[in-house]
Amino acid sequence: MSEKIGIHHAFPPQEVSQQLRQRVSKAAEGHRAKNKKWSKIPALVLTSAAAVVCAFMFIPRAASAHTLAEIQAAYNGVHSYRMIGYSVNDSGKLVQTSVTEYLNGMMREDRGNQTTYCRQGSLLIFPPNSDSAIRYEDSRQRMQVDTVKQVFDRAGKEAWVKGLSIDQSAKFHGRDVIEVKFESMNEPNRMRFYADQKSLLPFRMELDWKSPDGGWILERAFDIAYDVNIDSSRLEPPVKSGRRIVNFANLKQDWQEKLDQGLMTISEGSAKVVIRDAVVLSSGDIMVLYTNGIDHIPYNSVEAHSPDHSTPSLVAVKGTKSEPYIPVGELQGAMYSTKDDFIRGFRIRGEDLQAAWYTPLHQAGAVRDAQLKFMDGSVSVWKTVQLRSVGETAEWSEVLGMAPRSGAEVEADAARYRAEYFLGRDNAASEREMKRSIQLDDMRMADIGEMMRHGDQYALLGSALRLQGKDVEARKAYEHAIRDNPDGKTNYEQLIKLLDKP
Amino acid sequence: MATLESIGISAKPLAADGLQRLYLDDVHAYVSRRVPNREDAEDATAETFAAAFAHLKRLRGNDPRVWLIGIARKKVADVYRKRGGFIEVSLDQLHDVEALDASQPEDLLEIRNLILALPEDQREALMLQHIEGFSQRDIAKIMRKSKAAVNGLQQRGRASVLRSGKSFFLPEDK
Repeated sequence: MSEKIGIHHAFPPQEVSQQLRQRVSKAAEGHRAKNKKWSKIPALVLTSAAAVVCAFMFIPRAASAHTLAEIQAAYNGVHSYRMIGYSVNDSGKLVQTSVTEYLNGMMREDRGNQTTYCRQGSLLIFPPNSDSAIRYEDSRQRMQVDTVKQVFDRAGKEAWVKGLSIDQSAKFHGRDVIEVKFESMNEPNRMRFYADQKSLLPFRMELDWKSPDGGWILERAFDIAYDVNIDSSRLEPPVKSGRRIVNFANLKQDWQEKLDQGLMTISEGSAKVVIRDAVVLSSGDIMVLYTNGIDHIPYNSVEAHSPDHSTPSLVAVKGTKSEPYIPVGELQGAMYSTKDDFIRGFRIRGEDLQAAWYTPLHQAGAVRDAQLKFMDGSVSVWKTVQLRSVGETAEWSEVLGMAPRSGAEVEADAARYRAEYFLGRDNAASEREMKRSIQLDDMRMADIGEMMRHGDQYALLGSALRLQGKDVEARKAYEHAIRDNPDGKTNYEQLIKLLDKP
Repeated sequence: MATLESIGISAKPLAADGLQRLYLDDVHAYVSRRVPNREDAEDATAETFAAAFAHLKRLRGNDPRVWLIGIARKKVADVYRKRGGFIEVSLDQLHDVEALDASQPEDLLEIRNLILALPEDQREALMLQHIEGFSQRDIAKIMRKSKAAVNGLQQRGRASVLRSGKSFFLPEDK
């Protein structure tokens, strides 16, 4: 060792414990499992598909494969079903959230004010409060009985479950049933499903979450009736309703051409940034699409990065009167899904399309101009860019391959970022923004028949309240955070601290 | 540095595996240097990877180590926020530094205190350079500042430490 000591000696790192290694490893596994099964399905459809497909994500071990193979075989004779989904609300009661109807390869699902149709691999989503519907051609028939059978084919080949138990002579509300029960390897949840002893078809499925004390809490339930009468006209999308049907593949092509033009080019020295689109939402959020000569290798080689291929991003946005904005981040939507590769950058003339989203700190309402400056120094002075006002729906989200991102969703996210920004600086503002974020999320989710878990948001709200000395409210917020996210250990600690106070 | 391909990982769905295999030690070292409490540090590291896995799309085109440390930095900030400030460490907690003379732990504590006494941004800019070994360009990304701003922070931080009479910056020591 040298005579002198360097500062790194004064900050010794800890070894990675085996426990931590396992914990992260599990999370990686969980991510892989989730991606493998779900990545290509629009998120809006996932929750209802859970009733049939999700149950079998937890593939059983070979020992139980026989019974499950029999259930699988029973599906061969199914031509129609009606499935009603329920979620548990804050009062602990089951409330109906979805109805799914299936008939010979066609499917319709109603959730809140949103309706989804699926047939022959094509998925059509009619979101609430939108004048357009989106058609996806690659739904992989996830919501159809065929898929369930395919999943069963893999029974016994993978081990993703623990504690699998099958009770051939169980009772469900007095009825003789086969009960199949298992826990997820990666998530704190458990599936139970109850199959009729004669038909072998599951008529009831329940999803439980593990509570902080190790018990199980019912989270969702589904009732399924098979071979029921379903009016086939209900399964036909209402194409004459006047709504615009957006074909995703065509939409991508349209925007490819639209963005090819570019709104303005900003040059400085040899560097060039082309602003492809710049919009402002009614909430005041600014979103910018631009190219700056970067030509990435596609994502599927994650080693594509190099010092020369780093991702420059907008460093700053401010209003023309220097109104402050904070970065919400690079838009994930700057991607589109393809059959072969879920994530690819949108490219304009061989350059990667970059996207950035900024939210105003103090300003409400739309503005028409903003000033931008870029991080890589290519355009190191403020440049004024004219913004295009868009409505409550960020149409970009459609452009870039995601399901429509509603104004409420954008606003809720922006409010959350503002709350994080204000925490420790202006805790009252942080509290206000976080409450607004939660409220907007709740409203949005109710619209699509869902309930939102707000673990992180309530924890942050708790911090904002605690820093203002509002201990009673902070305690409630932490309690809510724990209910929504039983794994959040820090929330327990904060709560315990508050409970210790007189 | 090893690439994902060099350890047999190339397909996109496996990016999560590759990230944790390659960078878990680096990320935890970064976190644990700033969060001495083992439980908090492990939580912050695990949360860093959980966040990274959830937003893998954002890795596109970025240096994974820089990207992960950027996320870890926020998680560390969360710990501080929840704990209400920088977390102090006792002399005992430095005992596991390898190959030290018995007389040196006090010096180490002094160095540590000098660094900890710096304003947060200066401290982070210096630590990222001298401990984690990042370039100014990478530090700029991690701290979301311009290269010039990072340079300024490092200059001011270094000057403060030197003014206190200690010259501890020995790149050859690394």
